[in-house]
Order: sequence, then C-alpha cells, then structure tokens
Amino acid sequence: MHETVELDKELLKGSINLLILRLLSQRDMYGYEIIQEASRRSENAFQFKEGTLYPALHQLQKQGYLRSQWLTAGNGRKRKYYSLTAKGRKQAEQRQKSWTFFIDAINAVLTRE
Amino acid sequence: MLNREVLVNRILSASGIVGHNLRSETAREIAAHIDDIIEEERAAGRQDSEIEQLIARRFGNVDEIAREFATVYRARRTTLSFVSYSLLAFISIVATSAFVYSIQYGATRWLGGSMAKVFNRSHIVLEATLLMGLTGGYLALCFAGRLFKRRSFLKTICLITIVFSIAAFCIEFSGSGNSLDLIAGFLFAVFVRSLDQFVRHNTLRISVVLLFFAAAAAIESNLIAYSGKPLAWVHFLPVYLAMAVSIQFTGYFASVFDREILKRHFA
Repeated sequence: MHETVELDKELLKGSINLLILRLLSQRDMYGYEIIQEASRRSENAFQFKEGTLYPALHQLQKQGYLRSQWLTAGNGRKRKYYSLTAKGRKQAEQRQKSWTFFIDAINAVLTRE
Repeated sequence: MLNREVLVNRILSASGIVGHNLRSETAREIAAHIDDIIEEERAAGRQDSEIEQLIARRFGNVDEIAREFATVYRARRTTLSFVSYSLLAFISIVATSAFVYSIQYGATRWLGGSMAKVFNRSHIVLEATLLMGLTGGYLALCFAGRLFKRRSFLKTICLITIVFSIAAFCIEFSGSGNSLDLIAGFLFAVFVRSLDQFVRHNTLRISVVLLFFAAAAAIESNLIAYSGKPLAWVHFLPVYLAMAVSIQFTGYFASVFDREILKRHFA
C-alpha cells in the first residue's frame, strides 16, 4: 500500500487526459469503470472526482481522440463506453513519451547532486 | 435518498451544454454513474444515507463540474447562440417589414396616395432602416439583459445604445442609408421595452404603445414631412400603427422562441 499523500489538484488535472487515454488504450471502458480502474492500479492514490472525469472525457471526445457508444452491460443496464480513435491512440503514445521524458527530467533534478 | 435527478439537473443547468440530445445524453450518463455507485455501495452493505453523503463527496462542488463542462462546450455554445439570435432577428425584421409594407400598400391604395412616391427605393430604404432599428433594438433589449446580474435593464440600455451608435456611425460614414432613422427606430424600441418592464397591465401597455405611435405619426407628418398639411397624418397613421402592432407580435414571438428554443437548448 502507498503512503497516503495529498495529491496536488492541478497536477492531477494536468495528468488526467494522459491517464484516460492510457487506460482506454487497453480496453473500452465507461466512466465509473475508469475511476475504479485508475484507483485499483494506483492502489487508491488516484481517486478521480466525477466532476473532473466527465468534462475531461467530453473534451477528449470533442477533440476526436475518443468515440463513445451505449452498450448493455451484463446486469442489463446501459452504459456509455468510450474507446480510442486512431488519432487518440497516437495521442496516447505521444503523451506517454513526453510524460516519461518530463518525469525523468524532474527526477534527475530532484535526485542528482 | 439523494435525488439523482436533482443533482443531474443542477449540473446540467449551469453546464452550458447546448442541444437537447447532448444534454439528455449527458444526463443519462451521469445518472448511470450514480446508479453504479448506489449498486456497489449497497452491495458493500452501506446504508442509503451513507451512500448519499458519499455521492455528494465524490461529485464535489456541482458548480465546479458545471464550469468544467461550460469550458468544454464554450465555442459550440457561442456559435449556436449567435446563429439562434441572428435567425430570430432576421425572421422578426422580415416579418415586421412584410406586415408594415402590406398595411402601407393597402392604406396608400385606399387613401389614393401615390404608389411611386411611397414605394420608391429611397423611401423603402428609409423605412427599412427605421424598422431595423425598432425590431433589432427591441430584441437586443429583450435578450442582452442576460449578460448582467444586477441593474440589468439600465446596463442593457447603455450597452445597446453604444452598439446602435456605432452602427449609426457606420451607416453615416458609408453613406448607405439614413442613420437618423436607425436611431429613431431604436428610441421607439427603448420606449416599448421600458413599458414592458414597468407597466404590467396588458391593456394599458398596448394602449400606451398605440397612442405613442399615433403621436409619432402626427409629429412626423405635421412637423417634419408635410408641414402645413394638417391631414397628412392620416397617411402616416396606418403605417405607424402597423409598427406598433408588429412590435407587440415581435415581443410575443421572442418569448415563444425563448421558451421553446433558447431555454430548452441553452438554459
């Protein structure tokens, strides 16, 4: 289990698009599932607020990175599933590269003497 | 139990999401999300009152969510608002002009006036400018108040006066019409809109509008256009009364448009 650290709201907001794109690059998901999956993978470090997630999903869809469709889940309830478009897949790769570069650079500054 | 619809409506009403389909789809999506939380938390043995608090906590500040959505859809909202208001203004001006010119045609025939004089190009342009000032000004005064939270009527008049002054200057500068007619139409609009604001009694308000336009007909015919011909106002009266009636219809049409289109898709 991670040590509980209060995440900077702006930092989380800035990285939410990358996290959404990355999660959806593995499989199609609906909003609630994205929150659960991010929370599970980060061992509860990321607790997306619904109010941050949905505007971000709509923004990414508007930019053409995502598409959505209503599908019936196993329990018979309908949910809006999001999936990546080809443009979104490219964007996910690009953002991950620049994020890795950024993190490495930050770590280098923080750790090197 | 937390009222799901209330929460969804609070988010949507301030979200700036435009379009009935997009709004209802977003509402459905958020409602499905709330249902997922309820289902999972009930399965985990939580009481409804606890779930209610949890949902409120997870959704956070509703105004903040709405603001985030508003940012996403700002460009679409601005474009569609502009198109809607322009369409409303265009239809109103065309309908008002058609009505006033029809009355003028009938009155000219009935009173035996000169068609060539009444319907020559310069006279038509002059009247069209007046009608544009009246109808456009009235609609602008009806809707621009939404830009302000306090003292909206006064601020609206100031704002629209500036806009019309600039338009009048452009007309004058380009030599494409008579700016005084635009300003006169706008001043009529200010008068009619002020009555809408301060006189609640319908019959009284309509009577004052009719009297005002009849007086304007008398002033124009006797003091400006045909000085020294006291019965000339008989020719002007039907046209001015048609304007008075048409501006009442414009007000009614604007309120229907607002209720059926603007509030349904933009509010």
